Amino acid sequence: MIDSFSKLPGIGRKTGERLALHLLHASDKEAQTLSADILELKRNVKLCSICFALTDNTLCKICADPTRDPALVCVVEKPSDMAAIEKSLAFKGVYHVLGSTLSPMDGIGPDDIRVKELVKKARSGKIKEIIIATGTDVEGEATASYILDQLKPHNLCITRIASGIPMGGDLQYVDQLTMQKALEKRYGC
Amino acid sequence: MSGFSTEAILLKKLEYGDHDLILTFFTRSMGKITAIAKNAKKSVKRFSGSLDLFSVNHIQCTYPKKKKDALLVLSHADLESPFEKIRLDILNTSYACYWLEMVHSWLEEGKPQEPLYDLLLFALDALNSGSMPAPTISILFQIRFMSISGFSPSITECAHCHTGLDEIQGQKVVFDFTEGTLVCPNCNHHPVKKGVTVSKGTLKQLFWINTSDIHRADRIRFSAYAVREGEVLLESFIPFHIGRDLKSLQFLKRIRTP
Repeated sequence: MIDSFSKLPGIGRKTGERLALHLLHASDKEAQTLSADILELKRNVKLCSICFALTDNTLCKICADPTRDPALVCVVEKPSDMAAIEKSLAFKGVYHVLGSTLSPMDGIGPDDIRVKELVKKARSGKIKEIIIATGTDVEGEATASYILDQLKPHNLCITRIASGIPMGGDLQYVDQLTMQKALEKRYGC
Repeated sequence: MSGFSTEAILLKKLEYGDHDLILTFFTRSMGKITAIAKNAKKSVKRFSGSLDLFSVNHIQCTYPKKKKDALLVLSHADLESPFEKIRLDILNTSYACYWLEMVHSWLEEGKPQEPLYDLLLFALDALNSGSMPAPTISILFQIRFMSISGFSPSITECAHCHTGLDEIQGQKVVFDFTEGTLVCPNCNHHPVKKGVTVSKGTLKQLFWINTSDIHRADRIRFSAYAVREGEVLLESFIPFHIGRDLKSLQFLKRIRTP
């Protein structure tokens, strides 16, 4: 049991021991609920057939929601990025989860992320705008550049999320690249 | 607490746990070093925007407190140059990553290599500014990397009859990867285990770009054919000598294919 826990991310042998001891002292019901939840997670959670987010149905909640705009697609790297955008309540379109970003040094190439599926969606003619919301690190920017190249022939409005000063951020801790982008995209006047 | 500060190019970044990063830097004064940046994924003050591949930083590291063989601890990094335009193009990013992986694979920890540091800095700067075409910079980087690393190919004469490149009859010669030498058509009875045919004109241009002043390198104009030949030769010869396939080279070849 300790070995199994130790394989989980962020958990070493000591924490594994603590968790195993906790379960040992827990009620039978608590242990049964946990094991049933783990099995259910493995059996029922799959990828949404449209956006590739995690779901326990054929379609995720967002793709199945008739109030969302299917012509506005936001491209993200992983489901946790999608959750972060959802938390902002600022986006009313749908998503496309790539699964990863291109990473030359890790050997993650275009065939390892869901770009072909995105191009297929773009070809359908039902999309008006694609927002590329990958990260601003080297892998995120390079992936955005690759997606842009692939989508160029489809005559769509393709946008990239802006980057700038974080809310409550202190200017002295902002790096020069973020500052440069924040000044380029300044608003008002 | 003892430590040091130096200028460094980030070669490799590895996530460690939920918040930490293990980083491999190429420093001017200490060669390749590996350090752990604790809480780096959350910190906006110490590492804001600075821990990205091929960025140049002024870093401060402290030596581990107890175990001597433990990792250095990165305490602060000031971004000096992000080479921000490279990342906006997937092909340029692929070239830069290939050079980083090449350097990372070849260098031993803690051995300073100032000429190689300057070469990498020159290549990244040229790629970022667009002063030369990316394939030409890559050829320049690879041929000079080999010279600095001590496995420079001998491309001025036939290894067997010692006929100079200009005097060799015909337009093409065979480059032997195992020996790093040329075999002229008259000596083709000598067995070549692994090699590639290359034209004399391309070899002359490779020789020129390797030996002339690096700041005049933008004057050279490779034809598309010479670029292709140079790429095939160097991108086969370097992994052969390093002794392993480079993932970023496979990636680069995939991206370059239309």
